[in-house]
Amino acid sequence: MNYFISMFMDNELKLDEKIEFVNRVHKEEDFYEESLIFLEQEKLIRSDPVAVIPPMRFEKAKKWLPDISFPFKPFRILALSGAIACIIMLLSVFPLQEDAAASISRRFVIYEPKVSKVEISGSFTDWKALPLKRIGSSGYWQIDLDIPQGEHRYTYILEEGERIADPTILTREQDDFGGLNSILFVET
Amino acid sequence: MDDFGIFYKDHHKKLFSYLMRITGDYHLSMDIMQESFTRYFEKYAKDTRNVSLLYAIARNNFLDYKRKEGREAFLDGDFEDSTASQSSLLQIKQEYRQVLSAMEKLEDGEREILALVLSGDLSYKEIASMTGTSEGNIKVKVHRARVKLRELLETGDRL
Repeated sequence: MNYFISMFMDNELKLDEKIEFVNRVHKEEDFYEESLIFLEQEKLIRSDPVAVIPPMRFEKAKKWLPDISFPFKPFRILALSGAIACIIMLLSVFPLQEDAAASISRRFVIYEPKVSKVEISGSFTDWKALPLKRIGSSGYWQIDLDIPQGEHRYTYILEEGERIADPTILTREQDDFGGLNSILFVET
Repeated sequence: MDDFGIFYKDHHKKLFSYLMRITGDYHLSMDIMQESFTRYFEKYAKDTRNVSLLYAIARNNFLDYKRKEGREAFLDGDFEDSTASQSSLLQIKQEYRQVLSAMEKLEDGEREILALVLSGDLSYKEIASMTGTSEGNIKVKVHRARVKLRELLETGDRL
């Protein structure tokens, strides 16, 4: 049983073992062929089992869900019924004290160090693309927007027009163009 | 700033693939993945980069499910013929069905270890720790699983 081949494929060989491995491949025809066979098999079994990984989803229209926003520090958990507690526990909650205001100010932050432009477009911008500002050289981009109460959909747009859902928000849905929108619930 | 979004982005696909390899069930995998990230986040938010913890949670979720359902992972034991997983089956790539079919035929312990290794997210050491065994054991078992898988896949071709 030659588990050396597995260790090689799994990057578990120490340097001396790597030398031994290379020598065996060079000198032993069988070992050489076995290695190739297992490597080809590995390509197959490591490939994705499905074409589309489902995004995490939650039931929509939970109007009593508070605004969900990152960052998570400090992480506070609302005491709600068990059924939705697991949903709430996913997200940091900052109850917003806006009295009778019909909208709240929300900061959107995304980490995209490699692009030169990030925009946001959603139901609260009338689907106009608004540019985000870079935060120094941190790789983060941000924008503060007033969001009216209710359920909203939005997406980020990177340079080249690539649309991506907010990686920090777990509620998502398919849009009409085969992409994903993030869903934000705002309660004031 | 939050690392959770990045953590989720970096690992959710690999975690989902891991779950598919041990359950063969798209919907079950989705449920467990959701539950795992939820629980990871709720309990360990400050420790945002502990990948093996995420997998431990997912694995435990799956073991709980198996215990509760009182039956084998791949539903009725025959992945391809199980009617309960028809809609799940449709999600799986054609070329991967034979792999899942073969994986189903491995022993539980071998399948589990192979699936953890295939995720690419964990070292032998982490897997040993998670499964309560030694690294030596892992390296032997994972190779044995691959050898068996090869036999099963080759046989499958001939049928």
